Amino acid sequence: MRVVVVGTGPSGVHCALTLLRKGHEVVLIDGGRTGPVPPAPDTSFNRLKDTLPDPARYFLGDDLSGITLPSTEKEYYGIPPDKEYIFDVPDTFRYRSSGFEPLFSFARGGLAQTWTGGCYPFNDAELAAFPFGCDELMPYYAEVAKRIGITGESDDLARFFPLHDGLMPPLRLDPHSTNLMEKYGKQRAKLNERHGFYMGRTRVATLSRDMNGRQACAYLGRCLIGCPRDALYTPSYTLRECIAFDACEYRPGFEVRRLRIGPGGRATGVWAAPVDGGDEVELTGDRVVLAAGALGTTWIVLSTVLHEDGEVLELSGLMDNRQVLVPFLNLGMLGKEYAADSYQYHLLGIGLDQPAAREYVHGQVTTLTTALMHPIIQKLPLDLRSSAAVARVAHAALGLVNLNFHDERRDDCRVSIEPGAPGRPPTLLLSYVPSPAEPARLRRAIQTLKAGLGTLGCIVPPGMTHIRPMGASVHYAGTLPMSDGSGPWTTTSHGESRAWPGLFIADGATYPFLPAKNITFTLMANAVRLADQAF
Amino acid sequence: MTRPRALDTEPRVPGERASSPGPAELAARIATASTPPPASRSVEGECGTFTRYLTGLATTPYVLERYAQAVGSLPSSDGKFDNVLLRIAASGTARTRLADAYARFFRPTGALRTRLVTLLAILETTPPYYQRLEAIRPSGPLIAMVRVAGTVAAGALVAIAAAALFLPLQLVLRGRR
Repeated sequence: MRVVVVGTGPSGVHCALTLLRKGHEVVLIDGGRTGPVPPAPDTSFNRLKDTLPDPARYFLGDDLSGITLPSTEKEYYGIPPDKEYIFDVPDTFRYRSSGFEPLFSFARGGLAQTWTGGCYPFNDAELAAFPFGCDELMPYYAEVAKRIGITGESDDLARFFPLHDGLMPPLRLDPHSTNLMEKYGKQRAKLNERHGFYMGRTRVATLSRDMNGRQACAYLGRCLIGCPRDALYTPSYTLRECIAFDACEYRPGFEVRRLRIGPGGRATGVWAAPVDGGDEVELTGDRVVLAAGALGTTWIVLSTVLHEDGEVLELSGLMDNRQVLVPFLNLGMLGKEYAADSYQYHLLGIGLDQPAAREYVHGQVTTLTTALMHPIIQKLPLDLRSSAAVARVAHAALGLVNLNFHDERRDDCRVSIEPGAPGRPPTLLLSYVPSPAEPARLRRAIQTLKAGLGTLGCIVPPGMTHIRPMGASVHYAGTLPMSDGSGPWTTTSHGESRAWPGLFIADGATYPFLPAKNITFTLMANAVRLADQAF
Repeated sequence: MTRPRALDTEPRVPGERASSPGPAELAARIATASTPPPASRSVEGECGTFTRYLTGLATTPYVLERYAQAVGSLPSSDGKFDNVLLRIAASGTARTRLADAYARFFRPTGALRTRLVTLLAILETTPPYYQRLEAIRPSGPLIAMVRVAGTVAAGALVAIAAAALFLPLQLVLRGRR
């Protein structure tokens, strides 16, 4: 069978790899944008400053646009210059949004090229709205763990994350994380019982031992600017595996404009245009898998409806995880030197138990190690010299909890399109309205977190908790949900479209509910499940 | 390939309007400072002063080159007070600190603060400045807290002095239309 797979993000590559291993032919399409190879693979973050001929350009970009200026109002993502390519989009791409600040990618590997590696299986409560349960997903979680390498262990957070096979030993803790875990050990009963506050090791797709040509984490402190050892998994590694198959036809540099609908309304391929301009081409197959990310996939579906029926369709149910950033100061770490040679992303996780299990609140702790400090220093209410002095003393004590909240499909969160000028693709329209219950939910969780951090000897500076805009978590989902019903804009439990047979949707668009956990691991596992069971 | 149209990440420095006469002792300084200084020489001077202010070290041709590049890409400020503040700040490290403390609260996105943050970003990626910016005498939490309290208290005093000095000037310049 010849299958056209659109997108090389986590869903696309794991679906494609499964199909190729089953002997199918795969045409794999993406925007094809790639970034530079990280320099000096064995050099630490700070040593790069000493050894690179032009360090400011490397860390801040050729045009120094990586500097965070006081006037910058946009949400801060900390994207380093070498990863800017991930967010490049074709000149023809347009969107408008209300209440939602989305990110898009036409990169090889998609938006997950800049993820932070969190791998958290959904449990039965979180899968209650899905047409399958945790038992069905577990072998696929294990399969993905085997493919990408996940570190973690069974600890207090296992009550929230089911344990699957294939976990590697966890990464080495930095001194700040060690300090937090020691204090948690002493206060555990109080934190668990009084606050429903649990702490433990994260599960992250970062190798603690060599695997498949990728090297184990060497604690260089370069996670954010780009791991030079391939220790932190990105979908481009699986894409490399796919391309090695003779049966894989990789077509980079294309933007899929719409589906090719054949006799009987069957999806038989796609129409795609080169991202740098040029005529549309037709790519055909026996089946099509859309894995362009929930927004990209939805845009393709809506554009197809417009082309086939002349109808402007509106789909509801857009979801994303609300994120709240809570900075803290661990008083016990004040005055110590920060550990530059450390893993830079989340080593510890926090789980806040909720009365309804599906409303679990998920936190990831970043202890500040290597990072550019000017975005922080300029925020302190002092002159820069005094602020830098305070930051020096406080550096090793600084941390950040990124709280994630679940989301549900609602009618007032919509995606539609606006027809473009002749020869131009339609504009994507997004509208998001938060749940009326959200403010109280956020307030409760933030209070619980502050109480927990206080018990651990940490203070949360007043006025610095930041509620991120919707869209910032980049966990988009919900527009074409899996369901047992029969609506045309729903999919079967295998993600097959009820409008166009032969079309399968492998990304977050099919999620009927969005748990608080990072969805990427489940995206991969579900894509493997779909390819394994439906093809 | 470009960013999506709705993403506007261009840095902006809001300008200020021109103003009317102020106190006599400031008139001469304002007269020379109210137009943007010519780029190269003034940028070299302010880079040297600001580098000493932030790190205590002399600048280098490399830092100057990157600073000039960054400043060249910033929108020029046509605000009279911003230019006054910039010129005063560039005239010596003690004045830089005063002007910076004032700008932190009253001109947080103005030209001075923007340039200082720009230079700080360059310095923290460049040896030997990054080591200087990170250098710490390790201590226990109590001593560290005392140090932080001392730094904050000194910074607050500087901010109060700066407000007493510059606030009237800003009000005067705002009144000159």
